[in-house]
Amino acid sequence: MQQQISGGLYAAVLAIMGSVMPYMLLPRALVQYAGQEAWLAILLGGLYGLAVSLVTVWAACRFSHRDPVKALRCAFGPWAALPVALLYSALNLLLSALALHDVQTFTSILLLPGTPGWVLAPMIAGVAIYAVVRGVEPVSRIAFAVFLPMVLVILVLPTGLFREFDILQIDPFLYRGLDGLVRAISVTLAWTGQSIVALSFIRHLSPKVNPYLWTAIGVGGAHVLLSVTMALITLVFGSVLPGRLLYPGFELFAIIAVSEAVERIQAGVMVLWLAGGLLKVTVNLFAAVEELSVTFNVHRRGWITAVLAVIAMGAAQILPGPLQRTGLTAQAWWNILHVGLQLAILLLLAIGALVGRLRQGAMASG
Amino acid sequence: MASRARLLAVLLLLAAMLTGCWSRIELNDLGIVLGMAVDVGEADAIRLTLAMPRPLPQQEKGGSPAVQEPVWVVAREARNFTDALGFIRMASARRLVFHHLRVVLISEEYARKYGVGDVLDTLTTDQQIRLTVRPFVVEGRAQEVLETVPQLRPFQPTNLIGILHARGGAEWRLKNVMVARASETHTMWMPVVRVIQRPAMTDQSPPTAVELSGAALFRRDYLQRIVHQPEYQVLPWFVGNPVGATISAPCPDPDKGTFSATVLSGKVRIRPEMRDNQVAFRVEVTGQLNLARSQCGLGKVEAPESRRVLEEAMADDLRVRVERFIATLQESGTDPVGFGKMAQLAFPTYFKNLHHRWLEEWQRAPVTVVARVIITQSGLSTAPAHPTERELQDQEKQH
Repeated sequence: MQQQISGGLYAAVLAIMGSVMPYMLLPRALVQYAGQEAWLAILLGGLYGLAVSLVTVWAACRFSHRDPVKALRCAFGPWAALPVALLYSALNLLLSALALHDVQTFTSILLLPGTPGWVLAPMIAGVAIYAVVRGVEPVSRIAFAVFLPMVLVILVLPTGLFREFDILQIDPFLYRGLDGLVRAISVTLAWTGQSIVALSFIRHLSPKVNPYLWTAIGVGGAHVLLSVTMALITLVFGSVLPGRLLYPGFELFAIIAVSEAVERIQAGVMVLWLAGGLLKVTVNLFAAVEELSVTFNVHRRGWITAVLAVIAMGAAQILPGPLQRTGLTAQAWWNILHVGLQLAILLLLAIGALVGRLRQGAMASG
Repeated sequence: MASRARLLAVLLLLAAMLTGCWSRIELNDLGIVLGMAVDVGEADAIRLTLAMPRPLPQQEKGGSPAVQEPVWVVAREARNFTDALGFIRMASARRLVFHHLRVVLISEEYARKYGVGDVLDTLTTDQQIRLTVRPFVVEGRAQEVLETVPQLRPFQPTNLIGILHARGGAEWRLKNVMVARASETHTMWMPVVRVIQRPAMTDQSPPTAVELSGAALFRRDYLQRIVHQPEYQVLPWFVGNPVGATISAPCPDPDKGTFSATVLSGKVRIRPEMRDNQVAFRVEVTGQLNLARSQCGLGKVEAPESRRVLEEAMADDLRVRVERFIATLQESGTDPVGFGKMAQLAFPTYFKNLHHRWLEEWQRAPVTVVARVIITQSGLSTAPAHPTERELQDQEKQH
């Protein structure tokens, strides 16, 4: 019996996926290119993410049980599902490794200074393996438990930052021109397009709820939240300084001091982010394992999960530091690679849906 | 059963790891740096001084506690900031941590000679130092400030922050300085402190004390000018909150003396306008005041005529102070207030075409100041006790 999740849990997974890592890693690059309009870049880039997720859901809904990979395997044999499953799993494995790298780097720099990344990675991977093996329900429940307080924090955040706002930190609208905004949007696409992960969760979504609505709530909500925090970052630090800080999102919480006694609230808030980061590692690993298992009809996923987690752990150690990582985010080839993979998967799904429809039509007329 | 044992073993292993401890560092091994001072060195380019609270001395058996200063102030000279820090580390029996750093003091001489860019860069790249640190410029040697014994707070760094808080006005931290430094529309400023001799003539009074003395204005990374009173008094109207500040002005009849008022609320509105292809500014200063004292002999201030005369005199004085402050900014080519930002917001294309020449343009920009104040309160009275009604009648007769 396949595990099922409610619309709220499904949306929470998509929202966490779309907001946690970009919150820490995107602001620097976006402010560098778009300046004060970084919030707009996120919203416009989010439209691409929304389109990717809705097309994914649409394609999945064309297949029985909203499971394209399984349907393709059953209809045409395992080789038919292999291209899409391999591309999708490779993309998710890469994203899982990157998330693992980001969490371990951030933790070893700011939360547990001096602790080597390779010590943190097995702990994070261990938790991820456990959650993946237990299935979609624990993953989505953790996502929900992390997402709600995160929304609360972001809603309360402006009250803590109110006295940090200053007219001297505001620029005229589109002062840096459209070029910078377009460049910033191009950087966001690789991140917002990660909403393609809906493919692995849509089959678990309760058939009683509207899949398009909950996908839009999850992906759209993530980008609205991200856009709000981006606007706060530029209101507090101006349109230049965040482009020179490694983690402006962290500084946004670190600057809050109600008095000399009540400060460093970032220590509490960052635990939420850490949980979200851990979840991102888990969800991407889950997505990679899920599609490979379905393609090869593997029921006991323990070994696949362990092997992929070890690969992700190894890959996470390749990038030496945060400078290289943030540099990579802004590289054109890197973003083209991500967007190319996302579009290729969407294309293969659409072709699969079309071929399936044609075959159904042929059988009906025959 | 075997799987449960395996699960238990994994959980125990994870529980041990969850403490997050990688290498053992005891609290006793930490030297918590609260204050940092940067001076021009005598033998080398930079002299770096750190102030760390000393742990309380242990009571000796049957005797009094060993007499030690509550703070360890240590200084080293080197070619650059990080080398000097390295030398201090070689003398410290505790691992230096900067998570609780409160103030950074930069001497006037250093800020003029080398600029503050290198110091600010070092502060922002250090992952332990937070953007809430308060930077100060020191008239004289910065090290001396850390060596001075504070009176109402246990350590000089917290004493300095206490002075800033108690005074009110402008809240200025490393974050604000860095935002200004990265900006093309305005320039940095920092509060200025100095060491004064013999603050009180009592037996127990320390030989020196520290006081807030003005504001340091920067152009790019270099100290351009230090403004003292009365210009410094105007600064919170532009970059902070003037509430609580006291203004004294000559009476309408200057021979009679002065009168003072505290600010209940104050606002400055800067309106940029274009005149002959050049940006100009109209500065409107408005305030509500609480009359604190008066030598002007105008009787009850609840009478509109008496109040109007005082308001006009105070507004005139405030206008002159603001004009003088703005003239100082223009002369020194500094813009901590953000006139450039106002021009940029109002005329983005004009500002963009300046190509980073705002400070040159600012020095030529015409500025008109208009001040308006309302006296809404006179403490808990309606008039000073002097002069009496009888004296007032006599004065009128004489006139």
